[in-house]
Amino acid sequence: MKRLLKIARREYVAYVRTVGFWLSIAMLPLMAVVLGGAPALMFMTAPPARLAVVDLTGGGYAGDIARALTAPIPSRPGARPRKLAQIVPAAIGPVRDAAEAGRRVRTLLLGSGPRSPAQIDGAAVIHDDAGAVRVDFWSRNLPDPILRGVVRQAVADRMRAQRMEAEGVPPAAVEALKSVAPAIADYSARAAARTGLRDRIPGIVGLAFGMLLWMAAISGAGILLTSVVEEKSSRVLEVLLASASPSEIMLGKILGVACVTLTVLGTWIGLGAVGLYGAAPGIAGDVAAALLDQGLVVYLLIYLVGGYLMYASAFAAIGSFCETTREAQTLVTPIMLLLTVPMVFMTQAIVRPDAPFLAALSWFPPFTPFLMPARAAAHPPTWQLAGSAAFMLATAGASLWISTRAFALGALSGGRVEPRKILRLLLGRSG
Amino acid sequence: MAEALALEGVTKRYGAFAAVDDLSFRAEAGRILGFLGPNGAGKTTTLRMTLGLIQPDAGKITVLGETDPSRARDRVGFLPEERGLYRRMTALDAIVFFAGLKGVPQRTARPRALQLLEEQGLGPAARRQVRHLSKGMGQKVQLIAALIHEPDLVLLDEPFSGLDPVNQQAVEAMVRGLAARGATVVFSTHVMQHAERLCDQVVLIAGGRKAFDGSVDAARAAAPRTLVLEGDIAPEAVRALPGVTGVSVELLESGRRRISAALAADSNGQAPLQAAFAQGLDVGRFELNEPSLHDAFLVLAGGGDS
Repeated sequence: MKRLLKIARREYVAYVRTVGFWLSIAMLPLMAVVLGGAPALMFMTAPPARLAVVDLTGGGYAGDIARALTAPIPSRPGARPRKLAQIVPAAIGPVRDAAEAGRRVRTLLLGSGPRSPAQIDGAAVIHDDAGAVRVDFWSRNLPDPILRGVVRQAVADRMRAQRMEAEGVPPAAVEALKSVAPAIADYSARAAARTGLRDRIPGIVGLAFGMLLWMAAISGAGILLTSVVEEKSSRVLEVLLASASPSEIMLGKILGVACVTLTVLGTWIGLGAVGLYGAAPGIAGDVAAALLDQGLVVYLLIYLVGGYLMYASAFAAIGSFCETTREAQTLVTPIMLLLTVPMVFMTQAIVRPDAPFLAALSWFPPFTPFLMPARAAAHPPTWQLAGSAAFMLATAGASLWISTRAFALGALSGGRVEPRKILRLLLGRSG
Repeated sequence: MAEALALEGVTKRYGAFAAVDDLSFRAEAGRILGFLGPNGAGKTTTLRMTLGLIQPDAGKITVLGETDPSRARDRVGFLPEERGLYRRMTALDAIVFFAGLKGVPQRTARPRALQLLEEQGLGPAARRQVRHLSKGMGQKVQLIAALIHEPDLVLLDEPFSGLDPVNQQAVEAMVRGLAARGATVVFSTHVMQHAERLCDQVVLIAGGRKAFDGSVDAARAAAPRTLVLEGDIAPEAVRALPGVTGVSVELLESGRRRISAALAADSNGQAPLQAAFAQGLDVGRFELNEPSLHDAFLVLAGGGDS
């Protein structure tokens, strides 16, 4: 046990001293800030788009569009409301038809130089096309789909109102009809009550943990694979084997890398928790409640341990047969392909957590650590949680047993790696 | 004297190929045993079985009184043929780490490692990363790591390979020092001079089987003495001398011949020399050579690659 811990400690210290370790710790929070903050920052700092409306129909669409576009957009509570666009008069002068208006708008849009009051970012030319209203939406490059959608909706609302008024519906009734819409309430049969965002939190937490466990298993197992291959190729493994048993070496390395992975995960989760608490304390409380509800956090830890042991032991054993990373990559490719399957289904779990196919897949031990947390929103029965966890832990135990045996054989093996040879060695048929 | 290591009828097969075949020998405590053999003879496999890294298919191995070699692991020091140290660790940290695996506490291992590094002239390199050390320095660090726990049995697989003559002498001195403090040293080597200078006992294996087990003198006795004659001499005349079992001829730049005559085991060289002079052979120079361990190796290993 002392040797195992010494090997684990060396492994941990060796990684913590590398630049890559600190980069990996900083990378996810940094990416979260960049990816989460960049669109909002762009929206907040960019001035509202300058849109010109040229109405050749005389239908009075410009006023409706202006009202729709300049309505304040609430960003978050307490923040200053923003406008989607600003309507500016188009300096295109009198035009005969939509084609001429288009040519002039194009000239304005392509104009360069400093931003002047006459400069525009887009234009909506509304004209009559064989008895139907048509909107030519011009922009400098590709149209902003949100802006385009608002313009379309405003014109459509105006057209419907005009048609209804023509049919004799009073203008006040037309205006009142615009706000007619049903109120939708969500109910959960299991909860026997109305549901809201708070009820989705366990699912979101489960999915987030499933993703984190996936990343932890992959990165931990990858680190272990590289470490074992390096030690095999530099002959350190043979020296270690003269001082410790194969199981002590393999489990020591697995433990050391687990501590590395947990340090990274713990830092990420800690930073995320602090960030969430700072931004939305209510949601942070709901997340904490979801984790503690029905012992979810315990199951997540079991899945983390089981999943990590399964993949880490397999990768360590594979690494012990390889002297180059190329050999190792060839052998782990099938496992990596297999690991893409839960990634695909994890995202589906947030929408249909109790889909039968998903439930069945979550019993397959290599997928259990990722899919069961993602199914948390469906509150699967306790027997399913306990049964799949037990099945997964049994598989992890078997994987450890086989991998330790393989590691002992692989560590002293030489020559080209052949899966058939490995299988023969594992079955005890030498030669 | 107590045995530090005993192998009895040890066999290791890989399919139809017997890497080690019915091998038996004993190494007594406090002695230096040279484990000799050509490439592929089964030396490394034997050492690995002795360490418990691989299991024999048949036979029994007793290491420091333990029939399960892994139980004696902490009392055994091992230097593998291909050296392996963590490249990014300092020499001192690497030695202390391996000492820790052998159960030596850090407070003991650190000063001992520093002392051994100083003794080997590596004091200034103690805190340098292994990757920045020369090959010779790295090998000495590896050797110190194998000996830091003061083992009772030391297994060295080709300890002199890759070392310059000065470092080879230093390693020879370390090996003698180990034996002097009572440790048993078993080392494999291709360089017979080292074995000749160091060993109390040599075990020679070829094709996985034991070819010889005994003292260096006994091994040398297995090879014939050689009588070297130089002059204008016909090889046939030398071959006809009493006690000569075979000759080899070398043509010298002067046009004369150097004839090496292998002597029979019971010949002391006097009779053929007297006969050569009696027959009036044109002997300009003569020399009676005792066989070296290298000669013995070639004879015992069947002329295999040394």
